Amino acid sequence: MKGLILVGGYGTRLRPLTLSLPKPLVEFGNRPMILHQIEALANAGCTDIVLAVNYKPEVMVGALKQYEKEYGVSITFSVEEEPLGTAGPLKLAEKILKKDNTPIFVLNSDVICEYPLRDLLDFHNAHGGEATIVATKVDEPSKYGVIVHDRDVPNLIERFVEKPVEFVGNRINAGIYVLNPSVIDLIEMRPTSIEHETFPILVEQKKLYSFDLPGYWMDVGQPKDFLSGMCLYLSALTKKNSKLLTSTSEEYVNGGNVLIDPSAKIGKGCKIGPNVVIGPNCIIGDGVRIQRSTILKNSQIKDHAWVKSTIVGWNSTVGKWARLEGVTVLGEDVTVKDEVYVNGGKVLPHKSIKDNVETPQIIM
Amino acid sequence: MITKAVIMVGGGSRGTRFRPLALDQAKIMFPIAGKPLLAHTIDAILTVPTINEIILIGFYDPGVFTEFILDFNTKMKYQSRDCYLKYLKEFKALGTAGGLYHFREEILRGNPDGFLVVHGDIICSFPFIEMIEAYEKKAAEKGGIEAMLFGVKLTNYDLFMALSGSEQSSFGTIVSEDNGKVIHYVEKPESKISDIINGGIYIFNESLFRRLSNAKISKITIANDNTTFETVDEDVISMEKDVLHFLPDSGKTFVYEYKGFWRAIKTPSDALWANELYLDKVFQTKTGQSSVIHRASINIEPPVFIHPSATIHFQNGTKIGPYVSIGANVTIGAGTRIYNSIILDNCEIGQNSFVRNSILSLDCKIGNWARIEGTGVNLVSINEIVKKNGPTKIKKVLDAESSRVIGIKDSGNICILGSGTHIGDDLYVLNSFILPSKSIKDDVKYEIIM
Repeated sequence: MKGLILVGGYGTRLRPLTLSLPKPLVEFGNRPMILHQIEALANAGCTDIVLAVNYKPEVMVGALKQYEKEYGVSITFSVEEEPLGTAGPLKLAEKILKKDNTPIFVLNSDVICEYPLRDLLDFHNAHGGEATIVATKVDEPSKYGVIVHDRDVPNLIERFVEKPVEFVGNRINAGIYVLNPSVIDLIEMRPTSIEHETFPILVEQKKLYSFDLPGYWMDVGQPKDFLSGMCLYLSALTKKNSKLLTSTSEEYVNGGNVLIDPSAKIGKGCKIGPNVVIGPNCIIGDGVRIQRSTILKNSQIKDHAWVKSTIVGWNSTVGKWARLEGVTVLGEDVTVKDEVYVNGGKVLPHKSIKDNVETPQIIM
Repeated sequence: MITKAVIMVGGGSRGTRFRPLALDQAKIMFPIAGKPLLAHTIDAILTVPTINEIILIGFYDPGVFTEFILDFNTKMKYQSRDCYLKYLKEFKALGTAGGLYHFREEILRGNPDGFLVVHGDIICSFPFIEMIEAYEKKAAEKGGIEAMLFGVKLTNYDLFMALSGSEQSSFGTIVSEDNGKVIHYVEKPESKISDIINGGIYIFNESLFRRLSNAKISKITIANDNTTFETVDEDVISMEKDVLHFLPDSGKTFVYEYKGFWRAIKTPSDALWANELYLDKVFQTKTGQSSVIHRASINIEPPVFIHPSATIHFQNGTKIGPYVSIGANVTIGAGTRIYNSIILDNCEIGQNSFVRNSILSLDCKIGNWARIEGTGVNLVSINEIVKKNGPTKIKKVLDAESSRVIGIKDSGNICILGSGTHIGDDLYVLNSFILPSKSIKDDVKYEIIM
């Protein structure tokens, strides 16, 4: 089995975090984002994983070497000279992806979900088509491309409707696919879109099916959704009674869904949660209140600070009685001075914030 | 010998500009650094040993002062100090000098050589002894003078006007000769005529009443003149327009120049300035209730006034000060930070909360991890701005600051919680006024909550 992860470009939507670290390595739930996908692929029996990237930072090469060993997989970078869209990278990595006759998983690196890849594979093998799209249900289908099914054959896709004005269904493409190797033959070696060019051919051939994704789904490519996705991920861990989560019997845990690395230190009289991730070696002072936030590793939140809907970047410091909220994102090594209020500030790395930031803005 | 002092306590306007705090108590009785605004003035008058009668004149309901006057007179008796305090209520709001005319017999009883007149809503270091000395010296020198005005010499005119806001810049301006003789007085000049402004303190004598009765007569004349359409209230007399304006003509009025801190208390943000100035004064001179003025410690950054009956949990890095006044029976939870604020009696503040540039009226209740914040400037930050930008650009900087105020005139970007306000856990109140008895359950920013 083989898998392709569409990583793409610089992850500009997740700046200022991605100014310091390539997006796949930014920790989501205390693990690099790409690791969630690599682990899912490895668990589904993949031995070859291709990362489709526009650029190849050294730091990623090193990190992935380590994961190769950990999960017993071979990871190859497929570097695009120019962006090849969502289908082009498959053609580019043809050699690896077509080396045997087993189906290929394609994952979008921004998507977070439970990755039921084995069930997906069973489904794919059972229907006999050439490809399967994972579909997720959304509240507002009018913002997406909606899947419309065949009336007679269950799960067979009849057509796609882009941003429908009238309600035609609420299943959308979740950015996860299983393809037979033969699908690659439909793709030309140029920038192409799998959604708009490849799939319509398969629809015509009546060989494209969809699989309903159980559980949550979120594109976590930007800070607001990163936090929403974090809430979904933590809720899913709670549902599974995951041992990763910090026990709700801890005095400081409020409302559950709290994931704290064992190396982090928590002060007296804190109230943490719901929906909080605290990374390794973080130091949380006394009387600190944190909700709906991710604190990345080696950061310090000083006494009496109040943090909500915020991502605190690596090695950052939040001062005493500071208050962060409104999807504030602190880049790496940012200092928020004592007593300062930051609402929706996107703070670039190595900055020091001395005055209140009352309205959402970028702090260069 | 100066034996009497008159304090014009006002009350005619019902303190509209002092809302929402005026809804809870009379402005003149608003506590600052542990005692009512009025008590600061009265205590300063008591430093003059010859004063044996203090008369309050105003339009407040007498009930406002009943307890205060009773306490005062009892205290004087106990201390064997010969000084009596009384309140004379105007039958209607009589303006800044009408009350003096109406109660002229009370004031002249005992034939005082002169008497002090002080506006109740000003704060300064009240150098009454020095001013009286200057008056008596000048009177002896000139064979009697008509009046002495307390002139505040502004060291930074632009800064003062900028800080005073649009309405407050309307001060009387005094022009004088080197020997102190007042040669010109203009009320609310549009341009800068002099850097000495009327400080609202005067020493007058009997001759004042000639001028007041002249003013009264001319008002009655105009009021009864059927040939004009001008309507005049013959009872209302203005100190500024009807008296001070004419004083320079006789050449017998002099100015006492004063260079220290001075401010008129008009709006709630002025009360925070008063708090800052009085706490500094008390802390520096170590006068007054020294037992409740705390020394610097890990929890206290002076100057701070904490009423002895207040309970402050000094665990987990609680930090109070500078410029904080905390009233009776207040409770403050562990890990809470307060500075540049006035917390009135019976307030309860939870743990890990934060209060800055705010006034909490009586009986407020604040939860845990709440943040009550004004972003306005105080004297300390003003000095920093002046240092950074130079004194001439101050107005620009302050305008930029105050342009952020939404909907609240004269707010000075502070937070005010009316009495009995409840603020839940985790909430943020920023630059807002909350009228009494409200329960706040969501963040409030730049709003007035009715």
